[in-house]
Amino acid sequence: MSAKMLSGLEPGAEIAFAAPAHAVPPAVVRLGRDLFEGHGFRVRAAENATHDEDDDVLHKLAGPDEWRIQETNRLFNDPSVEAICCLTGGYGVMRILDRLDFAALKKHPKVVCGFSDITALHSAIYAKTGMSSLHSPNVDSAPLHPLTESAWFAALRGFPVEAPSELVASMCDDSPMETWRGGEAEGVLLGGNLTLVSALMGTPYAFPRDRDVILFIEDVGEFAYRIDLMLLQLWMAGAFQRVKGLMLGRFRKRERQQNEEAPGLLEDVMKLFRQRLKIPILANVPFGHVKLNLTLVHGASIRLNADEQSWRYIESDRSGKGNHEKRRAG
Amino acid sequence: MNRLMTRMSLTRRNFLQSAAITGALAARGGRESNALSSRTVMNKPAPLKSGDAVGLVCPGSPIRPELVKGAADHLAARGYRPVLGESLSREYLCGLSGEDEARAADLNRMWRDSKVRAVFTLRGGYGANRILDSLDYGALRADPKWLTGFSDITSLHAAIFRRTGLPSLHGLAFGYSFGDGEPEALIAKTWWDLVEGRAGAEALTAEWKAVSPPQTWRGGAAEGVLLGGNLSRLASLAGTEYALPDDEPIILFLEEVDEAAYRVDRFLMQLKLAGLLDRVAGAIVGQFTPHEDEPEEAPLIQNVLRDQASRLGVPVLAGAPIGHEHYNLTLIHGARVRLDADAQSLVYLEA
Repeated sequence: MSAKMLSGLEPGAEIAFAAPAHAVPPAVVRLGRDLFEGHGFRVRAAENATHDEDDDVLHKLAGPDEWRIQETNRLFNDPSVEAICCLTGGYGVMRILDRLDFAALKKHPKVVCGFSDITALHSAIYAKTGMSSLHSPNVDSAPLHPLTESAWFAALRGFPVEAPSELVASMCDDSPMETWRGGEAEGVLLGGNLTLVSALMGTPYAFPRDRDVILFIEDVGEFAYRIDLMLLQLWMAGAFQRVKGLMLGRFRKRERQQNEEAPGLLEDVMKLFRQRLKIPILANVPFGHVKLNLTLVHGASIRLNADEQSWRYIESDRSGKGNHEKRRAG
Repeated sequence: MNRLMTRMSLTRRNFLQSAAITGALAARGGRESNALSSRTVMNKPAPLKSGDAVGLVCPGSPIRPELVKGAADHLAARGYRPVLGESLSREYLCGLSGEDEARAADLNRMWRDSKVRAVFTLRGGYGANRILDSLDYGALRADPKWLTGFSDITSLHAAIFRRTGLPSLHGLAFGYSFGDGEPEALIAKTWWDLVEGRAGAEALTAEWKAVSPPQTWRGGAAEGVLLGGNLSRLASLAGTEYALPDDEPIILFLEEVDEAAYRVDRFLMQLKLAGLLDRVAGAIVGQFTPHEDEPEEAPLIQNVLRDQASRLGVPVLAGAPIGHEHYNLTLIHGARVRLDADAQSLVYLEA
């Protein structure tokens, strides 16, 4: 097995919880442990660091930067840990990114799970190692919607959900996907939370420009003009040059935004931006800060067909970088 | 809606025409490279003279017609001829004052019109980034004139500096400050002293100290080119050709409004991870005003700023009245300055 490949976890595999960003209440760890043990995995739980508020400039972090760095690197280095599931996002990964030991992760490959602020970790892992990881719920998303749970654990076992499939169809029952621009494209599936994707522009952790990319993005609570500003940053930074296809997730609004912003504005802004792109675009794909948060394999090669609203992961070849080795069901 | 606002568009053909003009100038000693470095003398626009035309534009968000009229009247009363952009008070999409093409055309028209001797943005808001690729920097380079504004206009200052090496004036949104009656004497005096060419090297320190006491966060002195403005906009340019330059020492000034502490931190981390702080030789911390619904963010923002400032390891002077609060010093963005955090002074090195 190539060190770069992610293989499915077997029952009994050891999962470690990690806290590279915000703190979580103890109940999250308990719920998470039950969830993973219920699926037959062993859990190495993590807790927030007990720390002086003065050591945490933001007062919400799981621990001081040094602690989060050491804990994350310790997990990267531990050969017995087969998956790292981030407890929550919030903010904090960017503060420690340049101190993380990605070489250790590459030496002891394991799948990293999470989303939102964890996007920065996915992006850095791919940029620094070419490894794939799972853009999945965070542990604190539990209790999970059954479809979200099925998709996440299928991916952990090596069977990431594709479309068309019953599971994706069920996730789209009340809110169908939309083809914003037809066509078919192939590339490495990269992206996540747009705020973080744009916040990494110009840094060594941004997604690479030297290969074809299928970009997937979502966000929560961001005003339309901010989404516009972030998409524009990607555009002006040349990041779209090798983007061959786009998967837009479900952009959830928050209260202030709903009060102050015209309904439909966000969609109008994104549709205006769409005019710049001559690539297939599939919108309202069921992932994001919503209950129906489909796990996607960040860093895997994928073929997207926006007309058919379908996608298939592509088996990696020996020369491929960061492709996801997938065991097909049946 | 965030209080930031501003913006314009240019065809490729226009840009090439301008580039040709610039090429001719370069033969006479002008500069034409995109990213300018090792500048010896600041190519400062000429002071405004009575009777000059002054362009009024909204490169980002719209402003109410009565404020446009107030601003124009104010200019006329001072002996200038206001030239209004066409896209000032419309409402388009996400808080823009018109389509990108219209906003870009307004600014380009002002830059290309030799009678217009300065361009004042009426407000910021949102939108300058949308027109950066459409502006006729060659026209501005060929005929330097001040551009004024702040907040969203930060992106225009950055682009002007990177594409022309010219200075610009980081300061008041003219429509809000002068469009609605007479501003305070100190604000009005310092504004007109700058655009009319009376401000001396020490003016900035004097004005700052007249408004609020500077705070030395880290001692020492440094020289460099004065760049910066709104933090979120500086971060939004990371990875683009308009980002902070990496070829000369920078005295960085920053302000922000309505952004929570973790976002302020994220913007600063982006600049840091992108290497854009590597050439910062000194820093000036302006106003970081939390959203009115989030007053609890104020001390956290100060935590973040002190933490990030200490990581920089350069002289830092805080408490600058720069930003979205009542006083907003006007600075010459792109000027060479000396920051002395011990003496609490910020002095222009070029006349």
